[in-house]
Amino acid sequence: MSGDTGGSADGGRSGDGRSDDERSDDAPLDAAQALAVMAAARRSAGAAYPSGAFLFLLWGAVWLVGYGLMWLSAGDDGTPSGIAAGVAITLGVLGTVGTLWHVLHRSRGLVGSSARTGALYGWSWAIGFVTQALIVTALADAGAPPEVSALAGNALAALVVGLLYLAGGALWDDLPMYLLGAWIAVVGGASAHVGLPGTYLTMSLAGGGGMLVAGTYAAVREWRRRRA
Amino acid sequence: MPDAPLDPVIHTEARLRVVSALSALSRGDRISFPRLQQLLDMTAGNLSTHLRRLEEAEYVTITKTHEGRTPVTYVELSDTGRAALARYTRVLRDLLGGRL
Repeated sequence: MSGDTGGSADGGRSGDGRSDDERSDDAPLDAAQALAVMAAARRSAGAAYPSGAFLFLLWGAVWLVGYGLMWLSAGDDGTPSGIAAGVAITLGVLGTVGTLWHVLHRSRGLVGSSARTGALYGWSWAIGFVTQALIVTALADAGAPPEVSALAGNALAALVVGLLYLAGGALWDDLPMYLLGAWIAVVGGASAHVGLPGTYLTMSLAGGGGMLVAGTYAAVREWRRRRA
Repeated sequence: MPDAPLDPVIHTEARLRVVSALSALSRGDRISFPRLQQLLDMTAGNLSTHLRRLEEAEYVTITKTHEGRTPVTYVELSDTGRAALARYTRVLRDLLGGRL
């Protein structure tokens, strides 16, 4: 290691490197080409990991449209129509399927510590949402009026998403993801105060909109990195 | 080594691509041979020739295992390989810096 910066053999360097080429597809590289080759290969390998941009944009669209429809269809008592609720649930299912497909497709053939971390993180989402559903049903069973169950359901969903983005941001040192988590958690808390049916509009525009903003930012960042 | 500052094991386009791609994986991750082949768009023969050379230099660790009945080969950059790439990168930057 200590001899690396000596620079005494500068003149012979490229010749020494080339002497080893035994294959025709290994044309000699100059230093600038070599750096470019390295950067391109590192970018190619990036496709072995999920794209934050894709996932944020996917879920931003699900929330924007799903909660938006629930708000638009809400009657005088603030309850969304069955159709709107059905569409929102279907979108949520499609979002989940899309997320699983994307993550599994990208990370196929990859094993080791990040695969384990990713699997544990993925299960955290399932655990969070099962718990959210249990709490909401328990509230209804305990006699909570539909408005309370609806507000708690939305706020708890946002809390689960917010906390998991905060955890993901901390885990992968991803500040935009962390900030999105903070935003979604705050939106969840605020949406409960807005009441019905405004809570749905809050979740749609502030929640879904926030994810779309984060997704656009991440997409620009990924695109710049690919071009750099 | 001292008289070959640009490590000849790494300093060919194909092996530089392999080592760089492996270095972009998270530490502790291993990637299957076919997936690596796909990410780098290399033929199986070409990739395995270069992996053998890298394995001889102990720059990569190759693990052969079975998933069900199918044999699977996983590749990982070793600590030696990571250090060699870091050294190689420093030499490149020195070369560029000297020229500019």
